[in-house]
Amino acid sequence: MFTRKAVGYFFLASILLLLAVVLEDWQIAILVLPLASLFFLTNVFGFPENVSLRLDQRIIPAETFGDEEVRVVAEVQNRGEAILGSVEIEENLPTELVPDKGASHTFISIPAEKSVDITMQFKGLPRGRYPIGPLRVIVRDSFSLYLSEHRLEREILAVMPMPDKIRGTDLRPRHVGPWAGIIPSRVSGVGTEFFSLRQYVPGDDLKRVNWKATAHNNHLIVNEMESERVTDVLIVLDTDVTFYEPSERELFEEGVRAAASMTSLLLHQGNRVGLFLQGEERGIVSPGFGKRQEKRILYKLAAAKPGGSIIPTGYVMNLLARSLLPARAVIVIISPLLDSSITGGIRHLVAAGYSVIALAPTAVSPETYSSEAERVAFGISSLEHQNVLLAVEKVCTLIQWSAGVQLSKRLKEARRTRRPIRA
Amino acid sequence: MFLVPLILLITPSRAILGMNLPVIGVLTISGLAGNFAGKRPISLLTSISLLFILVWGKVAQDLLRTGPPDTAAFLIEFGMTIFLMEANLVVLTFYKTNDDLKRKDDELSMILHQGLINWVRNQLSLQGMIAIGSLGLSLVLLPIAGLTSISTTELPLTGGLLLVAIIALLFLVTYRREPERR
Repeated sequence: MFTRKAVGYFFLASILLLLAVVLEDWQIAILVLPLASLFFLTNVFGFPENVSLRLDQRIIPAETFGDEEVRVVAEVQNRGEAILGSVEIEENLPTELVPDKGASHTFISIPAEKSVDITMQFKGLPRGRYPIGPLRVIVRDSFSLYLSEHRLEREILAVMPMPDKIRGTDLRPRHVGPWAGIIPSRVSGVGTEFFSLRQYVPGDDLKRVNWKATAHNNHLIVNEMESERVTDVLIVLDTDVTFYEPSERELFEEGVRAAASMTSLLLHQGNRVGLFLQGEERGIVSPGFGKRQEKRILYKLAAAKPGGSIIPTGYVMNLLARSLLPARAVIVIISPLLDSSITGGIRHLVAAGYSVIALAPTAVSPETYSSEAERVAFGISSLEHQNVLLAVEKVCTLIQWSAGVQLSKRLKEARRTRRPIRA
Repeated sequence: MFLVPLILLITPSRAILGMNLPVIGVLTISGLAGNFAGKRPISLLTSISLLFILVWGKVAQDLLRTGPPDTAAFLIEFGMTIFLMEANLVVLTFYKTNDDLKRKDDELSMILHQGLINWVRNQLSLQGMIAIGSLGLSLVLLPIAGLTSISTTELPLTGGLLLVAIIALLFLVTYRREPERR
């Protein structure tokens, strides 16, 4: 393939020839000689007839929590029999990704049948999903008259939010699944907590006989235990916030971390957990079990960004809950609850029998205001926000926590809704 | 830097409105500034201007009917301008790429830095060899080219020569090259 420079030289040669004809001057015409010689020699000695390359790219590790070093290794192998004098290697990276070690763009010579590794190293990456590549390798001759371009498609580096170890989610859903878990199901079965007494029937384990009750009743009485099951949970992370300033970025990150922590906790408890990401970056992870599901959800959370959404959160939440979850399952909404329309959505979910827990990270009031008008505006918006919080608290469990406070602590202190949920 | 006065002093002063010295100054300064500041477009523009002046000087000589320059010297000047421009571009590319690596002293950056030094050495030596080869080949071909002359009175011959020259150029450009398979 010719470069633009080659076309330029060819154009120059044509002009020189035309000028020579017009001016009847062979001295101008002979200027084409060095250009023609340049092309000829470059073609024969400067650039191999066939350029055969093998490209490989590795991201180690491709999924991380940002607490370790990440290496991107691009391997370029020259499979031809001639040296490649000028090889430009360019790894396209997002602007926010700057290698701590190594570089993403370089020039190199590769001997015949040899390969070179270009390694970049990143440290302390913030949460996000970063496209790495495409890797472009351009082989040129020494005068850049000919080129051969090769590329490798992009790969994704996911820096996932690190889940905190939290405790205290006291879920009391109206629906429990058939699998054993840790949620008291209010029915007798296999469990650790006492549930009720009943008369002995042949086949009952003698270890379960309650001798005190037997003595009172003159016939054998056995203990019944409350069976513990799992439930279905949909975590809704509301990122539909358009006015987060850079200083409030940490608040948003708290929400994402809370989603990650809740996911981790609920999945470790054996529940079936799904995720719905609502905002500029929308995404759904259907409910599932186990470690792979945790990875899937954390991977999705890596891409969470604050930003406006066209469809209201409350509406989408209702629609999805009905299609993804069985009736009367649990919905955990992580949202700053800034939009009053979300209250209606939560009310509908509760009316449909879902157990809803709302986790609302709260912003700290500014210490100073730039003007009186700003102070009044903040006061009004705070009052409106309080109204939304009150409305939400009436219909579901509301947990508010601010940056610096452990989520576990707030989960333990959480007040139950006024209307107790019963199986 | 040495090519600027060389070219401008043989250019008829009337071709550039008698401003040889100011043009020498401007081109020298812009060339140096482009190189020292690492500004590739300035450096490239200076080289292209120099090439343009060289050709324009020759055209002006024809129009003003002044004495023609020595053909070999003229050819070498033209070739040198192109080859030095190319070498300059390589050096500027090296500095630009090396700028990022200079700030880092880790092992990975050092490896890339070493690779880049090898690349620039390799590039310049290859360019040097091809430049000498091209100029040598041009000088060898010069007597053959001198046997023919261009004339508007013999249009079929001139047209034929032009066609042969263009076909030869196309052959040289596309020899061994097939369309890129993707």
